[in-house]
Amino acid sequence: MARILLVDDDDQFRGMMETMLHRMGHDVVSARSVGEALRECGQHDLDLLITDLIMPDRDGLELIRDLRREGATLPILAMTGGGRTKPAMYLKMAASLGAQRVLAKPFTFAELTDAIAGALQPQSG
Amino acid sequence: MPLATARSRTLADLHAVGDSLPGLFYVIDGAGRLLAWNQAYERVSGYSAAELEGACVLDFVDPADRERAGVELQRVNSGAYVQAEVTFVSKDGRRTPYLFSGRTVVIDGETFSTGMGIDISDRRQAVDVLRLRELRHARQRDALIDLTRSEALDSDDVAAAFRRITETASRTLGVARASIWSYNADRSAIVCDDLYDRDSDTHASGVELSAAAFPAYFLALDNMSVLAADDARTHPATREFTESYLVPLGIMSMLDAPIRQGGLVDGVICHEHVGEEARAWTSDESAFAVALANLVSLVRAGAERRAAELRLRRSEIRYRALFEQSADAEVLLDEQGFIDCNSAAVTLFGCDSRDELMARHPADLSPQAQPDGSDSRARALAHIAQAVADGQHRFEWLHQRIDGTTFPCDVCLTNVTVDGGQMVLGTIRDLTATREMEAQFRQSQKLEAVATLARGIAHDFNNILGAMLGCAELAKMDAEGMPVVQEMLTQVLAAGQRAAGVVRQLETFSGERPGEPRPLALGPVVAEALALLRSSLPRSIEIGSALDAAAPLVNVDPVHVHQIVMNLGINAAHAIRDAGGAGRITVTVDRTSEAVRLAVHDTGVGMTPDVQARIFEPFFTTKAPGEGTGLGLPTVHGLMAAYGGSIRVSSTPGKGSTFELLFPPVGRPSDVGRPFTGRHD
Repeated sequence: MARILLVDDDDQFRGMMETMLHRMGHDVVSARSVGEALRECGQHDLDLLITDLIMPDRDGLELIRDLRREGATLPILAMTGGGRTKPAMYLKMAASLGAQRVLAKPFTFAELTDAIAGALQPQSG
Repeated sequence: MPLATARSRTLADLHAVGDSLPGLFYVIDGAGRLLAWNQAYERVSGYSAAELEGACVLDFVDPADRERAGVELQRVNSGAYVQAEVTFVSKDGRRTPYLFSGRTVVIDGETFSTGMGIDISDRRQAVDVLRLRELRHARQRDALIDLTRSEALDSDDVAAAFRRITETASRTLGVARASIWSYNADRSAIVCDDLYDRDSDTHASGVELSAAAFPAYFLALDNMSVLAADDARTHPATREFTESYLVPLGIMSMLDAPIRQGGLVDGVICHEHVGEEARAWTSDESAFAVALANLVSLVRAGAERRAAELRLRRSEIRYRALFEQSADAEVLLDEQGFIDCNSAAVTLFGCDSRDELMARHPADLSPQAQPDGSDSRARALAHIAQAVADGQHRFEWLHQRIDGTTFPCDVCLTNVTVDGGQMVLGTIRDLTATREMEAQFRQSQKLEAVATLARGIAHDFNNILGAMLGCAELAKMDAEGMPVVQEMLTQVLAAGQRAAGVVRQLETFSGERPGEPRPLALGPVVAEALALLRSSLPRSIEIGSALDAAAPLVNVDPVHVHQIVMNLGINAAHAIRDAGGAGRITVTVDRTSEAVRLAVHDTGVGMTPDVQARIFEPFFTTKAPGEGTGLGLPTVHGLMAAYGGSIRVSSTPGKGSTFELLFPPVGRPSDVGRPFTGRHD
């Protein structure tokens, strides 16, 4: 069981994710923007960050970059539904910025379980 | 005057008269012996009175004149009044021409002869000068006539003409050096066009005289019609040449005449006298020099005119070459119609020969009306009139070939003057290919806009499907023991997965999901895909293949090749089914000069041009609802664009279609052609 910060601007998707994560037995803190996410990071002792990449205002890549710049070693799982630019490239960028795992939406319960397990492995990255 | 005889008084009288006379005066006896003489006689002859006493006057006459003088003396003695020009020789040998007049006088019943002599050397000189001048004039006149008649002066060989002029000048004026000079472009110096040196009988050229170094001379050139420097070393306009030029070459006198062209001094013709003494240039020599300068000017003007004519002729030849070799159709029009055209025009209008076009009017080679409905003839005349008024006029036009087919073109009419007549030069450029390119470009733009839209849709759909599928999955977990609910949720998940598949295709079409291209042989990958295709098509469809194993490698993701072959194969199968259900699909891989080609040919229904124009549009489909997404060919198109390849489509309704995919070979530039081209057979 892990304490997870979930960041996604899509309410329905975030709602579904919260249910899945709870079902997996994780403790979930939700944020709908990068600004909210950064505030939550300061208030909780987190085990994992799951963030969408394409969001209005500031995007998930910036969140990952800022956290890594501040020295946060928190494992990160990045996900995206693609969009304005090539999703593969987005996910690659996320990985290069320090995300341990990346997932393309839509994904199954099993795929998410695997990805979280991978991100939480101490040697991963 | 000594008076030795009885006649002395009378003679003394004569003597008194004689001394008052300016010339020689003497009295002689019948034998010519001097009886009396005046002082001038002693002074001119140089003899003393004692020496003259009793001497014969003929002794003082030049031997050449003596016989004639004796005859004349006899005539005087016989009582005639005689005048004769005789050369008088003084004691020191000096010879002076004299006009003697003699007559007899009777003194005290005795007859004597008296004579008077007038020095006519001045007059002689004058006559000589006149004769010489006449001679020179004649020579100069002959020289000028010779020169003007000379063919050398009419030829294009200006250098030869100048050589002829300098030689003539040297010979006629009797000078050692004659030269023609012209100003350089910035008038900072004169350059020698030709210098003739009489003694060596050679010509030279190229020497330069800087205006800055010889200011007085250049000033004189600009302001004098002729510069006659008898003593060039002291003349104010030429003395600046003394050290550097005159002394080294032994030049004493210069006679220079500026050469004028259009009122401006353009050069100079120089005559240089070499010798011990300075030479006095005469006015006729100056006039001759000016005449030569004028001749040089004429030669230059003639050469320039001929050069201009030559340039014109050459430009006509060049124009003709341009006209004939132009890739665009070129026509020359007068009021009646075409009067000339190049071979491109003959081809453009589908004629067999130039003659077919001649005398036709542009309106004869146009449909009755232009696309906007206006009458072709009226519009054509208006366009021509505008070209004549504006000099040049450009517009688009629909022309008609001899066989009646029409083509859009760009016409540029230019008003030109040929042989003094007003004509219109027309350049006609076929726009058919341009229009096709424009259509293709518009199509590409449309596809790009759709692709951008598709990317946005894909993002939203992935989020929506993510939520739906996730929730359905969670619900299914919770529906343990509720088989009906579980079954329904399974259907929801399956439908959601299908939707996710459509979105993935949309992403592929829009350039998302580029896959992982790597260099590979197309043949084996296509063979794998064909095995898959075979299993999914009815047996009534025959699949043939010809896969060149030696074709160059291409840089692709094999998954994409599968996708392409499946998409094209299923389309081909549908086309065959629509044509009756039996037919053949032929898949080939081979190489062209530029690319590796994957071709899929079917014997299906084929496509109408309207359908063919839209096949790459997303969601365009001719299939029954549920049979196709309308993304198959757009996906193929998107993949080929991503690989830098191209697609060619040819189709005949009722016969079948061929899709040719051209992949750039590995190691070659990726641009192997236009993005795609459509062609109807």
